[in-house]
Amino acid sequence: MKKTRQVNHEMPSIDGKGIMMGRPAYTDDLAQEGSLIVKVLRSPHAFARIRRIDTEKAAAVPGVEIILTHNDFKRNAHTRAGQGYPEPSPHDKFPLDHYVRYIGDEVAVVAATDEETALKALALIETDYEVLEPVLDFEKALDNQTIIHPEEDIHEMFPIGFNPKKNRAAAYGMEVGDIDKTLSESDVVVESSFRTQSQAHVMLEPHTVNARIDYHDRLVLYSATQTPFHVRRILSQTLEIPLSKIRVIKPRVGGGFGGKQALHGEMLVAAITYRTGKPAKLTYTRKEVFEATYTRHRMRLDMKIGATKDGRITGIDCYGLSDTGAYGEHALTVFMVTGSKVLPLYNKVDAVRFKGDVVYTNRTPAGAFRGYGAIQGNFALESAIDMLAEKLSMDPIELRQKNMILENETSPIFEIMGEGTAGTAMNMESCKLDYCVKRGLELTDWKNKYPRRTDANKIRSVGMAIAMQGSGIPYIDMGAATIKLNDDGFYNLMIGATDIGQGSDTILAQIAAEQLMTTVDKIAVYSSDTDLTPFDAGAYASSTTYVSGNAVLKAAKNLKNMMMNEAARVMHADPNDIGFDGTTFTAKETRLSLIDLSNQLYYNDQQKQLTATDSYVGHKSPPPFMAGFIEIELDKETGEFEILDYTSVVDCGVTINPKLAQGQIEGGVVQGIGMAAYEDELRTKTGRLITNSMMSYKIPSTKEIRKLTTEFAESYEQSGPYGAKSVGEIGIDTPPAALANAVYNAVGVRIDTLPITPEKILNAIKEKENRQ
Amino acid sequence: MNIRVRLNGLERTFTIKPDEFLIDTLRNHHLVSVRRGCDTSSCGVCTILVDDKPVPSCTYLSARADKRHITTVEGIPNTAARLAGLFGNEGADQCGFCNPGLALSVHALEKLGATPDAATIRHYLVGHLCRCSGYVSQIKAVKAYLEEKS
Amino acid sequence: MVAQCLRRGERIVKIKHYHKATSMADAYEQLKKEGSAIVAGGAWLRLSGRVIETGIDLAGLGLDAISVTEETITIGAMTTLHTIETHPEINRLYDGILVQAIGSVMGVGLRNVVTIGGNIVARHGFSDIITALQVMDVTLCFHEQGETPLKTFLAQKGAFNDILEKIVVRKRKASAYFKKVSKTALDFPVLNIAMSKDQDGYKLAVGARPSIAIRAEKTEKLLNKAKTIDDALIEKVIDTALGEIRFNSNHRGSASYRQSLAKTYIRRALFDLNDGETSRKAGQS
Repeated sequence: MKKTRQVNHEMPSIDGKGIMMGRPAYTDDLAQEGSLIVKVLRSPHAFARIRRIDTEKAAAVPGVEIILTHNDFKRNAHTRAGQGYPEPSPHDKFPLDHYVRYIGDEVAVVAATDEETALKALALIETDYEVLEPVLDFEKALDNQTIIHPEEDIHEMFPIGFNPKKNRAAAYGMEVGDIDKTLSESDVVVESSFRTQSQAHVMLEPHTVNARIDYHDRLVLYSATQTPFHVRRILSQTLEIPLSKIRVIKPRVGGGFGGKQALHGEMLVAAITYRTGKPAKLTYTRKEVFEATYTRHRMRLDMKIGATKDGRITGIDCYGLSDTGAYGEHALTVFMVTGSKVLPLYNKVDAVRFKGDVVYTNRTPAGAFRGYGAIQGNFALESAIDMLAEKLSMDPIELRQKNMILENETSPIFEIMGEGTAGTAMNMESCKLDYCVKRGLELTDWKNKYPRRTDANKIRSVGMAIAMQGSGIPYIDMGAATIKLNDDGFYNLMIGATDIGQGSDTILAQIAAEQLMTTVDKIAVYSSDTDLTPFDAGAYASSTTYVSGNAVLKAAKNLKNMMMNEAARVMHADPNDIGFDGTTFTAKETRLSLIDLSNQLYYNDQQKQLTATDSYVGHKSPPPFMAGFIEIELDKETGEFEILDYTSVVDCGVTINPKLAQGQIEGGVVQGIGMAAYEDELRTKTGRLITNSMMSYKIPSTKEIRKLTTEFAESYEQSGPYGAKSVGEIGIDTPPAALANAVYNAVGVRIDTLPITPEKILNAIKEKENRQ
Repeated sequence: MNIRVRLNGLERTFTIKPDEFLIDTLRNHHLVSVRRGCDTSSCGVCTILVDDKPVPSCTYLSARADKRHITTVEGIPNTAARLAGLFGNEGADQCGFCNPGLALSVHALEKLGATPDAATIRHYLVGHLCRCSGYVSQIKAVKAYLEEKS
Repeated sequence: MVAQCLRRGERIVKIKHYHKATSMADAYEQLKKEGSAIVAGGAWLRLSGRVIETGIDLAGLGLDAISVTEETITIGAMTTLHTIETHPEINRLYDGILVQAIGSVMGVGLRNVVTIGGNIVARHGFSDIITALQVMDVTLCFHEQGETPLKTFLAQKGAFNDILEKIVVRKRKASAYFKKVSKTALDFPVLNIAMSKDQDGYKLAVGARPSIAIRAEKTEKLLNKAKTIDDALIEKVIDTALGEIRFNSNHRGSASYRQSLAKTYIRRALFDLNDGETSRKAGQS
């Protein structure tokens, strides 16, 4: 492996300084002055039909520019999910509808000169609802009397198990071998159900979008989105505006984590600006972000694992029920990932089955959220593995080491399960999971800490879990890059890839710089503009490093070749005899600087603009792997616990930027800890969200996170840019199971419902004592 | 009503409503670094300094700000630039939405004197939520910044 | 009231007129008018969604000072929490539990806005500060009703139209214990408890039940009568405390969990205040 100069080197992000200094960068910073303020009237009922809606009084308020209701839109069913077309999500949403399906659903929209006027008008809209019985319990949704989507004009784009009459948004099933037979013949079987909650993303920037008609008479949107190209397409198809008349720009985004991988305010704001010709903007309040954007799919996963008495895992059977809320964005794909990016961890089983249903309920729609099903699946599987170890009287580390996937192995699941469609067979050409586990044991001094050490009422214990994720969606998601050479020998890198704070602008510049043998400061990056940058599916499915990175690598290679050819021409030499070190071309006796060449190409002789564009679609999705270890101190009299350390050992191939990769892991780990221990959604019996503010919904603060230890394995993925795999999601997957296992190791109680709270622990301890 | 403030060292007069909060007054006057993260004074994103003390600008009535010194991150460019470099060293530079408010609190902490330890830094900055970094890298960077300054 | 605030997250307060009070008398006169309200820090007011005709600002009236004598510390009602928690005398008061309680509330930024007067007058059930103050000798000074013991004020019912001017805390040689149980460092408490021991004996307050802190007076009497703190007494103390303190459930915790917490932390408080020396075996808390 050649030593690299830019790749696998720590360097600060190219935008950190400007951001810290407060320069205009985010979507609302760039709104046009004098934009109409857009406010949405939201449903107070979990399920209702709008019998009548009258906007006359509201429209008469001075300063109100326009009010839209379902009467003002053609019924074009679409999905808001930012996914490749045709989407694996049902087209079950209308811009505005005469049904409202959750408290917070859109009823009408007002645009006015200022916020106060808009709110005044909102209050004057008269509505008459036929209130219907909602479905709030996802375990009672299937075949419920209440049909949440009774309308006839909705559809799936291809078979995904969509059956709205049963309240089913999607369904999936696959089996390898004969699982029932395998389990019945196994010496030991462990069976348990696990429940995960509707976690909220709580990215610090609320969703926001603004639109204007530019002087070319085109509709231009600035949106905090992870998928500008998908936004453009969905707007065009739904509002019937020619695609060529729409431009979507993603400015700096204050966090997405999947919560901005679907349309939020773009549809209504685009409609308003298109119809009025005036600039308009909508910023969600935090309450609206909680109530009316997206959450994680809550799930119940029924796990059965069988093994021989000497610890060979024979079969895994998983049935899942997933709650997609009022609309089916990401319903199938999240559910599939729950199986496809978890079950292959134990690839040597004789049989495996994964199936289940994704149901509608009258709650905030679920959607994409880092981990994307893998965190839910991981909690269930990795908890069950520890339970299996207990039943086998076997060390849980040994059980994993005996059965987990290793380098050069494969799993039949890779070929069967993609994301929404069939998958792609692949061997694990890079898999350092065994090293990750071994190294983690060293770093945490596991041998001396497992299972626990007791000191009066405080118990220190450890727990762990292993995980995998993916690197993009093969054959479906494409990324592209354009690099151009300027005078003075610097470059512009134009990429569709969306930087939402994870640093893709920086690491893609590093890849380009490596290939062009220059430094990052010579590369000006511009990203995520549907007019000016080439296509990229967007920041999701852990695509950016692997897919977009490969596109950048190819484009940079092409540009370098073009530059070498031009240099050869100027130097009257054979292109094969040209050497290049990033700043100078050499040929036998002559030298030509890049600066001179670039200036000549612009101004002097046979002038031309050198630009290279290239694209990449993955042929596989090489998983990053991780072993996560938690150490806690638990107070057995109160159930309270503190997290003393979380150690992560990660195989993501080569890290393009080790510090930014560390940031992805640690940020993911802390979000995973939030889901494991602190975050929970609460609703009233009528379906109203109680935890709709950052006062009532608590994410970890700095005091909850004392110590994080993060290391990367030496690994190299042949198919990745400079050996890299992606790293955006994997950090989040292990904390829930690791914590559950640590709690079990501390006090012998297993919490199978997230979040794991002190009260649940204390109740379980008491129950256990009562039984004894 | 009007208020007169000293904003980043310059005398400014703003016309405000009685129930206006500083976040809106400032943002409406193009100080876009002052951003809103929540509705309930819970996140720290909108933090500014009033008379050198960090406060959530979403919760500080503009009427109260009359005759006071207000500092936004535009007023501490050197602190912000240096802190950004240290954040970059630790990989704490991610979406950045929490950064300006955090920089102002760090500036206030610096002005208080003695080099604090990680526990003191955590206590002083606990009101600044971050969803991207996992905090540990931020604390390391802030500690390095304060050690430089002491 | 808290639930309403959470529901009205978006309905920020409306204030039609802003009045900078020129004196306490002026403030009190304004307060008599329909739709008026005192603007203290403004933090809770902001979330109330109320429509206020006249917001009365007490900022210019010198109510934000801390003065110290041999026997007392007097804190102006408009003093911010952060000013109080960084004052050296307050750090020495009752083993620093007031500083501990204040420091557990949100972050420094918000504590630079929230005033002690606003916090006390609001009488939130979750107030950590009130729980800590309950185990000290605290007198509130109101504009109209004058000096009022804290306990008396907390028990007062009905609409309240007076203005708190200052809080007087007697300095005592005392040891004290405070514990706030909360999910994260920035969350409201599931339960809070404070205990103190000074020349007059023990005081015990349990708050965030979820209702506001009350003094466990029967329990205090029991403790103050006792000659030694032994295992038998501790059990009796806990029984008595649980008998006289009511707990309820909310989404932060169930009544029975709060009871379990109270049991454990009252025991630990006693242990702590007796320098870890009760006749209980060492190592048990």
